[in-house]
Amino acid sequence: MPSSPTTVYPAAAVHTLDSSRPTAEAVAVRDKRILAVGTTQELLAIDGAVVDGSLERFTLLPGFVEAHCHAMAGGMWLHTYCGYFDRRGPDGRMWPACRTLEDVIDRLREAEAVMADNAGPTEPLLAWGLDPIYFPGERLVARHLDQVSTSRPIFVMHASLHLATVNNALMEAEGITADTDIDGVPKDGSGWPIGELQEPAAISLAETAFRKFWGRMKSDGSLWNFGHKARYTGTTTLTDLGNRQSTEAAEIERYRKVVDHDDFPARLSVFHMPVPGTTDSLEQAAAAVAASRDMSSGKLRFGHVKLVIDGSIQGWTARLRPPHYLDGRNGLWLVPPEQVTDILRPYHKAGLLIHVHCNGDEAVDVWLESVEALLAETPRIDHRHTAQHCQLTSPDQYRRIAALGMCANVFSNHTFFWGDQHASSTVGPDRAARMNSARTALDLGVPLSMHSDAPVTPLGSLHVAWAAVNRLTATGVLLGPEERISVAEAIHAITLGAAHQLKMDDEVGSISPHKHADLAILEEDPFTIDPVDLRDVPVWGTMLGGRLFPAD
Amino acid sequence: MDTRQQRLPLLVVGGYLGAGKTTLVNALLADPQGQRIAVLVNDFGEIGIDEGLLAADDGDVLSLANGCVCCSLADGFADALDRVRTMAGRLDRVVVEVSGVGEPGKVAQWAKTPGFSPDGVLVVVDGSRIREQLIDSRIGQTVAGQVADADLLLLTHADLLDSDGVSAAEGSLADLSTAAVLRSPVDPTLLFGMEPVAGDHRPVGHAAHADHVTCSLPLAHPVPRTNLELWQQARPKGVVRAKGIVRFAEAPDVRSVVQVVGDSTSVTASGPWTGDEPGDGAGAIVAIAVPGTPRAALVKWLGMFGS
Repeated sequence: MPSSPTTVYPAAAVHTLDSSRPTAEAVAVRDKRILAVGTTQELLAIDGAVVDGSLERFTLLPGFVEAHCHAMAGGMWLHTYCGYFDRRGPDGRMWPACRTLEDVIDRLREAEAVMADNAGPTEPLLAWGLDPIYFPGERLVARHLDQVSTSRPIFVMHASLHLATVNNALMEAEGITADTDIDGVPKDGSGWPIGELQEPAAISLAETAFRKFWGRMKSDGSLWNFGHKARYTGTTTLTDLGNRQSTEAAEIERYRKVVDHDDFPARLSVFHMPVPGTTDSLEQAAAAVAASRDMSSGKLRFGHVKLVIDGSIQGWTARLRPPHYLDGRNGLWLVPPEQVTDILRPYHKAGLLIHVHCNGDEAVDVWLESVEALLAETPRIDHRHTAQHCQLTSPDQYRRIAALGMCANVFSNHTFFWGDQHASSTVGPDRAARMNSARTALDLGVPLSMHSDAPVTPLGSLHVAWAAVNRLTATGVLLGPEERISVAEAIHAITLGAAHQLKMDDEVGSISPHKHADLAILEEDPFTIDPVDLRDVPVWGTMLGGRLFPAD
Repeated sequence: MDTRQQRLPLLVVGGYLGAGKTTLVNALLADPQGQRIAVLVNDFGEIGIDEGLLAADDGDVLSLANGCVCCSLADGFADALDRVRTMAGRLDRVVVEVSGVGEPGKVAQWAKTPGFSPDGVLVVVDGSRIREQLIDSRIGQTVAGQVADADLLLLTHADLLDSDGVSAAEGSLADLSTAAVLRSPVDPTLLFGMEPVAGDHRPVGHAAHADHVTCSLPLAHPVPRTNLELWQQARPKGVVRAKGIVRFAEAPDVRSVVQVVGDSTSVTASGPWTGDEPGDGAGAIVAIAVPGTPRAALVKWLGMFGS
């Protein structure tokens, strides 16, 4: 008689994502791990097995694995959401889209009313998610926010994080006036600041609000919010991509305190962000990251590396091959391209996994050259270095990625959220149709995943999969039909594909013997519904290590 | 006392990877010429100071025996500058080293936040590589943007070039910027502002540096503010810095400070005119220029200010 109980969960359908046994009737769980899959009868033959009927109405998939998101997504929800799309908060509440500046004002008015009862009169109202790309020809300025309050300071952080809009009450409190002589403070015809603060130096003038906005990002509440969002999106493994202080004891403790708590409903892989430095300082840092692997626990993983080398396409800061952006410009390097190899060398030599954010195709070229150089110096088997975002990657680049043993994590959600804007404003309709070419990647043998980059787009693997399967923009335009992938391929990408890129495919990503009992519990079967409905499949909740976490 | 007098001058040092920013920063820290400088850098590992010079290291701030401190920019500009503000009472100025791909013009905006005043943008340029860098398809824009942001340019590695090579390098820079071009190794005092000293109109600390061209002019009458624009435009190319503590005709009771750093000119009000200022009753103005600048041109230029 085994010492631990074995629980058998019959279900309406089980899709294991394990090609040896792709479907089953039921799943047997013991000691927080999958013991076996099969028919209910087979599983009940296991010594001491008992049936639990809680999941019999549902379709079980492996818990979704999100290989590119940020813990800061939880922190943002501590502020008021006023973005262009419907978005669900960590408590499950749906926040409707703010489609006009009037909607934004109404949203802030609601928030102000709540604060009037609960907070002091000078407590700033903080908001997030505004993206001016959706409001061509109009700008949110102080006089809009003054309609919300002329006494409470209001601070609206834009999606780019490089722009904020504030009201006159805030400017008065912080001494931002006609005399403020700093480039990022545009003024009106009479010389008065209009309420926009452009770039970090100007934003820092809104000192109280700015500090509060960021100060809460590393709170426990922020991490808990992150975990809650995981539960009702069916996600059981998340990433924090990345953290400069991830090797520091205090930071590790901060994660452990929350993530190791029994009630935290997800696993979290924390990536380290290198700081450019001398060979010595980099080698020390690499040794510290390698050592931090020992700090991993059941739910926490440390020891991988993330570097950002360019910006974003919709922010006009990605680095592109010719013909660059439609208006002829090119974006920004965040690291000198010839320094990438030098920065990453100690980490590669230490045997670590490296993911590099490269949005534009010129940035991808730099990362590929770097991997080639690093492998020539220090050959490694199965390194799985990954190109993240990878949005304008061409077939020749995908061939190279495959040949180098690399992986691609593609930003499929962009087709929905910015497809129209890419076609009209950033790169034009031809390249917009080629963005996030998951079909090409798969056909060329590239290990593929797709991501939300939360909070840039909402956490939610089903939406990410839907976007790659359907390639529909927000206005319903079919953008790049040749690059659509099948539902089965997309679901693989959001489970095993992502797990592979995190080097966790031995423990999550499929419903297989001895892997963690991590499940996405869905109310419909994504393999049998119309693919256009994939993102609407209701999520009942998750199972993490055998414990159920309902979405409600 | 006007709080603006308590603002720390902040000099931005930019330039592409390998140009020599770190070499410059290390030279300043080794010999800050009596100035207590807060140096902000991306990585402490780059700072090469003698063990004997290091007084304390608390992880975020390195304190040196000569009164200088180093702060890391790893947590961002806002935090680093806040830290400097808390130490303002024991500092004379700030030098911020921008990353190799940073935009010096944007970083310079931090000098306009509370507690600081702009003291110019110095961009370090590798003379032996600048021409090829400017036409490089990957980094050309980045480097050109940095040069265009400069108030002062510092040309390094010129010793690797012959005189034609140097002219070509300077020609490429002239296409992008009218900033004065300094040669490395630079006299550190050129990097900082200067004071017309009461009774002696020579820039502080310049006594021993005969290479550079200096000039000063006492002012007997308040100067029309309207002179300023034409005067700025007439600046001879070699002028590195100029500073005047003056009375403007439009505000004769105000102690106005005029600062020129290469291409940039700023005017700030700095309290009431006391009468103890240097000069002949309306203040004084001094200028310093790179070697080779005709002194007569400087004299004529300063003369334009006062007329």
